[in-house]
Amino acid sequence: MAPPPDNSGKPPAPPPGVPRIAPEGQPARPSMPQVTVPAAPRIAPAAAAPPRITAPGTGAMPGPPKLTTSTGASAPRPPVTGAPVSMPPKVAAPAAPPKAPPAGAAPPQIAPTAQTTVPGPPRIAAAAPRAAPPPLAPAIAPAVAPSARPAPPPMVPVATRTNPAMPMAPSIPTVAPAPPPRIELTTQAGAPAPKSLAPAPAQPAAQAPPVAKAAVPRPPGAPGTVPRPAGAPGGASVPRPPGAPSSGARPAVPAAPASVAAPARGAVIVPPAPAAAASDFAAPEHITISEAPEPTTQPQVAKLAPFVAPTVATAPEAAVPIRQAPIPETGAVQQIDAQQAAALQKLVEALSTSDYFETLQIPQTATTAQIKKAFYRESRIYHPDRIYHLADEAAKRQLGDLYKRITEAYYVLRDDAKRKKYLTEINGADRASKLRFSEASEAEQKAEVIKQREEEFGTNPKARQFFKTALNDISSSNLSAAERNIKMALTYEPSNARFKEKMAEVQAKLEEHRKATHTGFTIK
Amino acid sequence: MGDIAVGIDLGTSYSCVSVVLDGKPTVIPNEWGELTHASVVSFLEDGSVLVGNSAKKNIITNAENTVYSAKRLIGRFFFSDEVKKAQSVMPYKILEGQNNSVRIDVRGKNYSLPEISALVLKEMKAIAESYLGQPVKKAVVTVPAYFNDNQRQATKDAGRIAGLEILRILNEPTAAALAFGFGQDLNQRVVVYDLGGGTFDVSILEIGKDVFEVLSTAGDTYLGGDDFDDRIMNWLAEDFLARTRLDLRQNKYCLQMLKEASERAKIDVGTSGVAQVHCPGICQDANGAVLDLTQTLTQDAFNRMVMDLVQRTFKVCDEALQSARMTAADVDAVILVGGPTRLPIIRNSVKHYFQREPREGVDPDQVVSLGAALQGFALVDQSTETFLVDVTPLSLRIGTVGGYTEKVIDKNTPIPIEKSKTFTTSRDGQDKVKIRVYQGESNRADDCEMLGEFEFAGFRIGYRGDVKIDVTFEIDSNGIVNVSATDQETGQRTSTTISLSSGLSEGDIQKSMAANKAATLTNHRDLPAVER
Repeated sequence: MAPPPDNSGKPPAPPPGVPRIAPEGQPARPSMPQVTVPAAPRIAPAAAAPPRITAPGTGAMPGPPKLTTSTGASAPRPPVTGAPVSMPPKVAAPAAPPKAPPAGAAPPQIAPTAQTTVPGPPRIAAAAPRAAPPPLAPAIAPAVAPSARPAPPPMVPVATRTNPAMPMAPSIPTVAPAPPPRIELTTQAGAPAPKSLAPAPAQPAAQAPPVAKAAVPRPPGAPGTVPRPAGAPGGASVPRPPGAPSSGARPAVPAAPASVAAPARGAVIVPPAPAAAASDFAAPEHITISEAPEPTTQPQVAKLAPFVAPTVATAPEAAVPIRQAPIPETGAVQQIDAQQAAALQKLVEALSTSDYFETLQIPQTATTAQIKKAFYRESRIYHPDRIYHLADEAAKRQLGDLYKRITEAYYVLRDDAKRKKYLTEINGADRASKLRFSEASEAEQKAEVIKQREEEFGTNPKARQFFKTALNDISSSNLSAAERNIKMALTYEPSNARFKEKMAEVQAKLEEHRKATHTGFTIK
Repeated sequence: MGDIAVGIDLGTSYSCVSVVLDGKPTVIPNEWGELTHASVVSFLEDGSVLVGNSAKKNIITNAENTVYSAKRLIGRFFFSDEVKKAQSVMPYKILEGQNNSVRIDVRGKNYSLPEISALVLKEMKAIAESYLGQPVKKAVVTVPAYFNDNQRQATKDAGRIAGLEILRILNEPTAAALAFGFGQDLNQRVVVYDLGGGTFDVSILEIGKDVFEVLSTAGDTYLGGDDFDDRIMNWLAEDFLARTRLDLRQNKYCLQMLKEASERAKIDVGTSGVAQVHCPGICQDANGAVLDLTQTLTQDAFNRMVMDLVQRTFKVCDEALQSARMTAADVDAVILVGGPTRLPIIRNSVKHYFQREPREGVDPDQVVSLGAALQGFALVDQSTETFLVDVTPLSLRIGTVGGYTEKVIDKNTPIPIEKSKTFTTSRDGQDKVKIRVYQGESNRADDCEMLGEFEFAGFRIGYRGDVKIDVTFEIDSNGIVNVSATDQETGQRTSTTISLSSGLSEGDIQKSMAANKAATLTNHRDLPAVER
C-alpha cells in the first residue's frame, strides 16, 4: 500500500530511508517510549480480540476499549489533550505509511519499538503474552506520533475518510495511556521524553489497534521487536512490513531483530513475553543495538517528527495499516512453524468478513495506482511460486486461497465500474452478503444498458423525437423552444426522470436569462 | 548437482530447450550444435523413432509415418475445423478416437496427440541430459497464451508421458517477457508480439521491477507461419496448374515438396528480398515426362499474398490493447517472438502500428525457452525473485438451458482465481444436473469450446428454481481449470479437475508413460546412456 517502494517494494529499496530512520528512531527513543506505551495497551486488546486486523473497523473497536482501560490505569494520559491527540492519531496513521517507504530498512526498527513499548509499561507486561504480537502496533504508533505533530490537522480528515474502520475515538483514549508509557520508557532509556511528544503518542495509540491486530499474526517477530527502542523506525516499518525483511536472515522476523537492539532493556523491563523472542533474535539484536545507542537524545526526536510529517502529507492513504504477513516476506517458503500457521489460519478465516479493500489493505479512496501497488506488494508475499516447495499441504492451500482472494480483489477494484458498484454494495445495508463481488449476468447487464438508453431518450417514439429536438434547441441555445419541446415530450412520458431533469435545467437557465436581460416582466 | 529444471518451448514447427547455468539462461544445443529442433516425429521401419531436424527430412521420403505440426491438433476435438483442415493437408492418417478425440495412425499403431508431443519432449529431455550429463526430470513447458484448457491439459499430459514433472505451464509471451525483463529492474509496459509456426499471440505486460503483470492477452490459434507458407504454396500450385493443368495438391508427395519449397521461399524472401523456387522432378505429366517447378517470388508479390494475414494480427493487437485499456502510444517496448517475425513485412508493419522500433537483441526463436528456463530455475532453486501474474485468455462459461452459456470468469482475469456463481434447477423434482463447462467469448454454447461436463447429484430435491447450486470455478497458476459444485443447503459437494472428454484418462497416461519409456530415440542410440 503506502510503502513508497511500489513495485520495487522489495526490501532492498528502503536502504536509503532506513539509515535515516534508524538514527532518528534511536534519538527518538524518548518519544518512542511514549509511543510504545500506547501500543502496549492496544496490543493487549488486540490479543484479546481476534488477533486479526482483518476488518479495520473491528480491530479498532477492541483497541479503543483497551486504550481506555490503559488510560484509566495510567494517570499521565489525562495530561495529554484529548482533542489534539485525537487529531494526531489520524495523522499519524497516514504518516506511518508514507514513512514506511523511506524506512524500508526501518520496519525492523519499528517492530523493536513495539517491543520496547511493551516492556516499558508494566501493565503491558501483564498482558505480556499477547504483547508480543502488538509490537507492530506500537511501532506504528511511534511513527505516527512524530509525524502527527507536524501535520496533524490534514491527516485527520484523511483518516476518517479513508477508513471508517479506523477508530478515531479510540485513539484519543489511547493517547492518555501513551504518556505514561513514555515516561517509563524514558526513564529506562534515560532520555528525557519531551512533553511535546505526549500528544503524538496518543495518536499512535489510536491507530495502534488496527496495527496490533496486524501484528498478531507475527508473534515471533514481536518479541524480538520489543527490545528495540527504535520506536520511530518501527512506525515506519508498520506501514510496510516487507521492508523489514531486508534485514535478512529471518524474513518474517526481520523486523524483530532490528528491534532487538533495544531488547536488552526491553527484556529486563518486561519479563513476560519478550524473553523467548529475544533469544531467537539475538543476532538481530546486536544490529539494532549498534544503531540504538546513538540516538537517545531528545533533539533527535524533534528532528524525526518533522521528517515524518512531510511523508504523511504526501501519502495520506497510508492510513490503512499493513498487516504483517504470516509467512516470511522474502525467499522461498519451505515450511512454516506453528505460530505462522496459526496466524495464517486467522488470516484465512478473516477473509470471510473482510472486503476487498481490507484484503488489499488500502483505503476505499485508493487510487488505481495504489491498488496496483498494493496488489504487487501482496503478490510478492503470497505468490504461489514462493510456496511451491511448501510441504504443509493445508498451509499451501490456505495461502493459495488467500492469494486467490487477493487477485479477485484486484480484478474488481482495478475496474472503475466494478469498483463503483462494489463500493455502494459494501457500504450499504447488507454488507455482509456483498463482500465478494458478483457480476450481474450478461442478460442483466444488457437489460441495464437498454434501460439506460431508454431513459436517456424515452421509450415512446414521439417523446423521443421531441426530446431530441429539445436537445438540439439547447445546443443552439434556443431555450424557450427547448422548454416547449421537453414539455411535449413529457406529455407522452410524464414519468421520465431524464426529461424532468432536463426540464428543470432548461427552466433554470431560462430564469437566469430573464433575470439577466430584465425581460421577465415584459409582455411580448 | 542437485535438481535441475529445463525450460522447453514446445513449438508448432520448432522446439527449443534451455537451462539456467551459473545464473544465466542458456540454450542447449544438440550433438550437432543445433539450437532449435523441428517438432517432427518420424516413425522408422525398425520401430524406433526419429525426432527433430533429421526427422524433418523424412517428411518427404517417409511422409505417411512422419508427424509434424502436432501442436495444431493437440487438445482439439475430432470434429473441430482445425482437425478437418489437417486431415486434408497432412500426409499422416488422422483418425477419430474415443470421445471425439483425435488419434494418429502410424505404421498400424495408434497414437494420441499428447503421446506424439511427448516424443518431442523426450527428445528435448535427451538433448538436455546429454549436454548436462545428468538426468533431467523437471521442466517448465510453454504454450501459446491463447491455448484453452483442453490444450493446456493435453500439453501437461504430454510432459508426464515423457517422464517429466511439469513444474508449470507457462504462456509463451509471458516467458518471452520474463527473459526480456529479467533482472533489469524495468518499469515498462511491454507488448509481446508472438507469431509462431501455428499460433499468434499478443500479450501486454506491465513490468514493475520484479513483478511481471500480464494486463491482457489475445490471440488466434489458427494463424501462424504455416499460413504464410500455405499462401505461397497455393500460389505455386495455381501457377503450376495454369501452366500444366496438373494440380500438385492432389498428391501428398508433391504437396510435401511444395510445402518445403514454400517454406524455403518464405525465408529467402525475408532475407534477400527475392526467392528462386526450384523443385526439380516434382511430378510427371500424363505422358510420363518429368516436370520441374521453377518460379521466382518477389518481395512485393509475397507481401501482397500475406497482407491480409498481417492485418489479422493487428486486429488481435487492437483487441489486446483495448482489454488493457491502452493505446499503442502507451507501449514502452515491443518484443517480437517467433520465426516469422524475422520477415521484413512483419517488422515494418509492427513498427508502423506501434510507432516504435521493435526491440533488437531478442532472438525470436530462443527467447521463449529462455524465459521458461528462468521460471523453472526459480521454482527449483527456490530463489524466486520475479513474480509472474498471468491472466486467463478466454472467458470461462457454464452451459445453461437452451444452448446458452453464462460467463463465470471473464477473460484477462488475473490468475490464480476462484469465482462462484449460483445456479438453479430447471425442472421440478430434478435430482441431478449436468454441468457443462465452456471456454469462449460467445454466449451461445455452439460457438464456445466445451471443456468438459460432469454430473452433480445429491442435492436437495425441490421445485425448479428452488434449489440453489453454487458452481465454483478455479483457475490455477498453470491456467488449468477446476470446477466444483455445492448445494447451498445440504453442503453436498462435487469437485473435479475438468477431465476433458477428448483427453486421456489416468489409465491411458500410465499406459502411455510405459510405452514412451520403451520408445527409442534414434538420434541418441549411439550415445552413452545417461543414468536415469
